[in-house]
Amino acid sequence: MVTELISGAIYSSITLLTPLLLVGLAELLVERSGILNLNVEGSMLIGAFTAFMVAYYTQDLGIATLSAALAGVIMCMLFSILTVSLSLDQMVTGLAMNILTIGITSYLYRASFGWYVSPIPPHIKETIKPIGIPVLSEIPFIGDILFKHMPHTYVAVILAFMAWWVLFKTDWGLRIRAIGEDPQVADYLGINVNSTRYILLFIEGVVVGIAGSLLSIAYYNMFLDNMTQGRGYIAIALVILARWNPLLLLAGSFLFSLIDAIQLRIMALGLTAFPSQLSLMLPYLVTIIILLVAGRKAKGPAALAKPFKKTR
Amino acid sequence: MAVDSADFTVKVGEVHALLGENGAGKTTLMKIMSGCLRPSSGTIYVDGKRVEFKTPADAMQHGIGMLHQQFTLIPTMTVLENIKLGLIGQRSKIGNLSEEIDRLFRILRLNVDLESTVDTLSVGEKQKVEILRIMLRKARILIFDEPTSAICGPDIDNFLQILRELSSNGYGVVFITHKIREATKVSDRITVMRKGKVVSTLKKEEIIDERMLLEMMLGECFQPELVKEKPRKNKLPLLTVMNLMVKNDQGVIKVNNASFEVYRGEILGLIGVEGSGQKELVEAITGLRKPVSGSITFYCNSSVKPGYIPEERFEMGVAQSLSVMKNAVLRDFECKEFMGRYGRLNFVRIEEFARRIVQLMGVKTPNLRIPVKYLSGGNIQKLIVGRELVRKSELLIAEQPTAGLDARSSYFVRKMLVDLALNGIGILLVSSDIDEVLEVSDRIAVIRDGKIVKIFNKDEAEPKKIGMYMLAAEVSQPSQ
Amino acid sequence: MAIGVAFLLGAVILYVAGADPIVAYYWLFHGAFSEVSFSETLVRATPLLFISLGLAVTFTARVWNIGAEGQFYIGATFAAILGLYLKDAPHPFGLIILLLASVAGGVAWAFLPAILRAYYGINEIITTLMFNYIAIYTVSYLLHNPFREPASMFPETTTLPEQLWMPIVIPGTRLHAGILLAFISIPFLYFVLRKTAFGMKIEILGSSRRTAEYAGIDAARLIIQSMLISGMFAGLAGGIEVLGIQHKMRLEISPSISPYGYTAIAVTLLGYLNPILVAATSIFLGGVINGSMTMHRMANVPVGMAGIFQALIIIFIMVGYYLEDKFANKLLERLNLW
Repeated sequence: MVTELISGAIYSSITLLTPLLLVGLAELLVERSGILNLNVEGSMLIGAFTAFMVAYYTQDLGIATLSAALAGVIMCMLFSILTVSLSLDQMVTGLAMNILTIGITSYLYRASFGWYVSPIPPHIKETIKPIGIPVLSEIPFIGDILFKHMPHTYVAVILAFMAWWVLFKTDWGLRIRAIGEDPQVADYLGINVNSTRYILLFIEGVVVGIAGSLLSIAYYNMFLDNMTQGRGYIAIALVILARWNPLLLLAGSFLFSLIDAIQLRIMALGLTAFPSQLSLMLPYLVTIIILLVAGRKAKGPAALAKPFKKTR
Repeated sequence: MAVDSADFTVKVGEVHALLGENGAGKTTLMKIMSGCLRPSSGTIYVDGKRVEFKTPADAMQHGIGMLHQQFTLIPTMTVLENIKLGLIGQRSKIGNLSEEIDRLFRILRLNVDLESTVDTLSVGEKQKVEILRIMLRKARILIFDEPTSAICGPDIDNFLQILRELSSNGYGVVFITHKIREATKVSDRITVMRKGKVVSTLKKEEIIDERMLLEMMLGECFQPELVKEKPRKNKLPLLTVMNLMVKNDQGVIKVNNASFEVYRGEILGLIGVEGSGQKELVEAITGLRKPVSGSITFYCNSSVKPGYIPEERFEMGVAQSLSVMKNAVLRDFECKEFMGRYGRLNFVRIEEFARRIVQLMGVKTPNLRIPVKYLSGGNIQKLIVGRELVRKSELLIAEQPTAGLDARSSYFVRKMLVDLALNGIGILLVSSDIDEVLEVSDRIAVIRDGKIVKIFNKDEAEPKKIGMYMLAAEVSQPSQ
Repeated sequence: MAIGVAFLLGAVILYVAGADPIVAYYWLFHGAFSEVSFSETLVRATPLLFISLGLAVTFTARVWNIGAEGQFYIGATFAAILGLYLKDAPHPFGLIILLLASVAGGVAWAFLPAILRAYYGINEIITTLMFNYIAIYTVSYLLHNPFREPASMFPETTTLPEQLWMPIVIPGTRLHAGILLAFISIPFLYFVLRKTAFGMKIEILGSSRRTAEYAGIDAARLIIQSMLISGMFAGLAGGIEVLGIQHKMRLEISPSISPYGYTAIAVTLLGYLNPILVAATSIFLGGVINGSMTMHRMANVPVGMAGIFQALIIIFIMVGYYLEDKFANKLLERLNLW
């Protein structure tokens, strides 16, 4: 019984951490180049929405995922234009776009299915299922926990290591970090600040859109208003916790999701003494605690969130 | 027009000084030459061939590299990473990077750990890393923009020495400066610019004396010599610092048991190598940083806060989005004279005050209500300096008050400092300009490693002695 | 001008959704500004106004309080719950106490993020946002369990007795005295921000923290003060909404199409942080919200339009500012060449 609890919890936490890790990694890279994109929340939501709509009409999960990526890219590119080219305030723009996204997704959803949500909300029949890695998933006990997840999970973990390697061991990583510390100097040294940021934001769009799609076509089979419920922001907090280091982000998201998973289990056990709202609140409380603990002396890229205009 | 039909040539193996006032156009001219700016007209020839530069990288390809006044290093990254960053866009690969780096380390007499982060390096070391970067890119002409503005004393001599060594190694060196003495010490040729035009280019032998150059720079014979009255015998202390210990943001102790006093009516010049703790000392005195231990005691009668001209002018000295008018009272707006009832501000008086400062210092601004960020750098400085000088404080702390100002304004500020002292104001002058400190101070305190190692009286002070104390006390004369 | 573009885009979206834009807009305006509905517009605008005024203060200091929604809820809940214990309090004393309670609620909710930001530099956008979620769940719990009105089908508190209600200003409408309070606050805040030393301190802090320290301002204290001020206003807005309109606490007190706390952010930004413009904008947006409901009923247009409009407007206005700024820079460059 206890082992089932533990293994169940670990399994769930790996599942839960996937969207957080994906979003967090993408945002980590973008922030390393000095841009704070609060709009990951909105991009995730648009990814979730688009994936669901496409899946509903085409029954093809692959295309749905791709269109989620596309939607994410469009959002992030819009954000780029406003913050990189026009140098508008990043925080305000990100926030505004989040509001916009909630409005658009809710509107379009209702436009398609009717203004009042019926008792049985529209849903798709098939969702993305976890796949088992051959051989490794056969290992008793560990195989069940670690190697039977969605493909996205494996991609996310690989991405974490890749991100670490690129950031700290390659020339590109050097340039990205230089931009994040001092874009004026980077520009002077011949690094194209704006192009690099655009590219990173493009990648972020793809990754975050797909992360969003997980919500609507993998974990659940429907779309709900404001489905992301602040997960984009939580990812940003985790990036701070991880001190902008991809490997620490991997560890941090795991710990966070573990707590989340335990909370869900407790709720499922139906202990009436424990109000459901408390456990629903838990992720947000934990985020605040994380920030309390880690946010203090965290020094991010020096030029984070500062607008960049070329001066010669 | 920043530069008006200027001609300039650099020869291999020479040190060519570009001398002129602040704003004379020297930096602009060199920026054009190094590809940072595009000229409206005119041509550039390298090795006799006509070239056009669209970016600094272009100029680099042709062997022209410029070292600007602001460092282009990233402090939180390592020396090696910064060097690698400097190689971006380099077309031809460097054979063996570490060998090359070793070789250049030797030429530049640089000895730092490649893996250490740049913010741990001294100013001189940072400069050398910058030079190294440009040399790695096979530059043949090195342009230095006011390289001695951040260093002082013997470091300057060391630097000038390196310039000569570079030129004897076959590099062409251009040395932008407004300090005549340094230019004459080290150059083969000197070009003087004034108001965007080249006044003349002279060979070393043709220079009779410094006055000649001064005249060319300023257009007239302007002898800024401050006539000092008899020293004031005033033994009333205004500020006493005892056994002060201050840590910086990284937790390193930067002020280590420092003690000194500033008296009424005197100017105490504080001088030291950059990073010796002056910054943290001033921060502690002005209340921006809490000291670890020790005491700071003020003996002021009035309630006006001590005046403070900060080194970081734009980041700290002004509120960029606020109007000129409001900035004029940035530190005093809560004083009785600017306030009405219920906490409201008396804008009439504020405007008057602002107008006075603007007129006094000759700040160029279309009106008093535009946000300060639209003013030019020099004008912002004038505003700040003017504000702090005009406030009726009994104590004034001035950090590099004349940096970036032209000769006339510089003289004006120094005269005002002396006048204030004559009127009983006590001034703590923090500057890296030994000449300025010598000219104006009654006493000179040398700070090193966070301690006040020696306090000179005006008559005993002499650049060499001061330099010795700045670097190390009981050390024999540095060999030349 | 930016608003015009937003409307055009809105028209396009409407058209795509199969509605007739002209008809839709007619109902929008009728729903917002006709004699009949104007009072309703003001009713909607009241909480918006309060919250935005408070936000104008923090935003001027560049302290981004996104938690207005949570502060609104907590303020409202405080008022509703405390009201249950003050059943016998005479009018107007009970009312005043409850209003003060709502202020306390908003302030309390803003307190922790304020401290985190002031002393530890922790990003207040994330902390206040997290607190919003925590607030909603907390209130939800309170409404479901301890304070739930047993007689009602929905999770809500017991309706408060009439002597605890806000007096109606214009008979026959729902317009209550809250609007008067709001109108008083406008010039008050304008005065404070523009004409007092405190306002100047806030402006300096908004410029840069270091400059504020140089000017002798206790930056940490000022950050906390500004956050608490906006918390105060947001909480008060919640209390007013409960005492003036709902007379009890429900979860739906903030319209889901355009939650007051978040909409107010847009209003403040649109009003360029200027209390007067902010007030005008809040009335405008109040109208839009009502109008879109009418539009929805009569012209079959979905209610989500309001959210879209807002966001579009913000973005276009920001672009407008950017263009203005560039233009101003060019102008000043010419001026500086003398």
